[in-house]
Amino acid sequence: MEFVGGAGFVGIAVSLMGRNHPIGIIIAAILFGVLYQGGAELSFDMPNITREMIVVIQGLVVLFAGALEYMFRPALVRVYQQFTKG
Amino acid sequence: MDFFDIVVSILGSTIRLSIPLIFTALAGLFSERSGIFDIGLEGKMLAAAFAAASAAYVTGSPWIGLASGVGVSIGFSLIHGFASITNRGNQIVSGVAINFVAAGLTVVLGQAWFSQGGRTPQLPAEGRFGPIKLPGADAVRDVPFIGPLYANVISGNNILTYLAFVAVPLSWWVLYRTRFGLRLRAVGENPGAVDTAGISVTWLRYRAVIVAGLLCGFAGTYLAIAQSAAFIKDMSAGKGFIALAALIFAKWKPVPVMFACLLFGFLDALANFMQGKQVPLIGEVPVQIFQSLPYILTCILLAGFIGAANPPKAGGVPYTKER
Repeated sequence: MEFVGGAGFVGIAVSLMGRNHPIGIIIAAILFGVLYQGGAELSFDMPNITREMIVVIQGLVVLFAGALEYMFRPALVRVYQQFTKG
Repeated sequence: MDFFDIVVSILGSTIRLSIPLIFTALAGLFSERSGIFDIGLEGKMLAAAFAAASAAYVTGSPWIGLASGVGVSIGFSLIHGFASITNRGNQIVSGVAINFVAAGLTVVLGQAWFSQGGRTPQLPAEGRFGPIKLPGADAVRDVPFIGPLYANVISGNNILTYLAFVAVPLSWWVLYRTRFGLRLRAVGENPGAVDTAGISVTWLRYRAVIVAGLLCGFAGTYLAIAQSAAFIKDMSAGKGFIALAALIFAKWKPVPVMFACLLFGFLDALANFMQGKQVPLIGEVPVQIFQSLPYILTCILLAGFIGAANPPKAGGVPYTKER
């Protein structure tokens, strides 16, 4: 049961995080791989941090970097423009 | 056990298994009819189940459990609304994020609060929604055919079950007979026209998403404190996705949604019943075949028998006001 471990479902998030671009998908997949492996090691060292905590962190990454991409963009663009102007 | 008793018992469990699907599919109906795709139904249901079970355990009242389940679910749908309406983000990404956060957070909080490996403690009987005996159930029990059906299938369910069957005609009435429903359907087809008429697209979609959160809250509460007596890790078990399949199957209409959910609930009940039983002529059939039936049926029927299922035209597209 559950041999693929939800990889198909996470794959949706990965492809959307990579903005549906092949190079972007590689980068997003590496990010999620780092989160999984880092999370497993972290929960090994600190039993208080469970595997589910990693799922929460992944969810927040997807939420803020994927769904809320336009929330910070205007402010960042303004900062960048001031930086290049000055 | 004769044949009729078997039918009554399968019908009874069909009703019990369909209720969360009906609530969730109606939630999806309101959200998608307003043009907001919602694959976070699963996560909202799970979060509501956890909130309901913990609140009912702490306070001992199922009603407070229901209120907090609905509250948490509405909170999650407001996050979805904020990401996909206000910030015009991708609705699918937002839904996936909500599923992730809910799946993780329920277990983390459950472990932190109750230390039972992500479960909540078992609720006493008064902390749950108990069965309601309809008047005359005992009197007609011995009447052939109608008696057992009334006593075991229609009577003896909890209040959320009856609420689900009230919610179906109510949703139909709201969608097709009120000003709000007309505007809600319009905003899912052509938000530009609604905006031209001077109605706020944003506020209308937010209200639709809040209604979806409300209904998902009922579904989660039903799972945690009416059907079972505790929250268990991943207890929604893909019901949010089956509800989405039922919604597509029913072409985004309230009454067909109810029948599609009852059909999927019936297949689920049949799968439970057929576990380890012999089928005449074939022998024992693996239970996985019955478990995959809802999905196979959706594919086959959508591919050839019930015609095209057209989603609301503006679904999935964030609305940008022209300047």
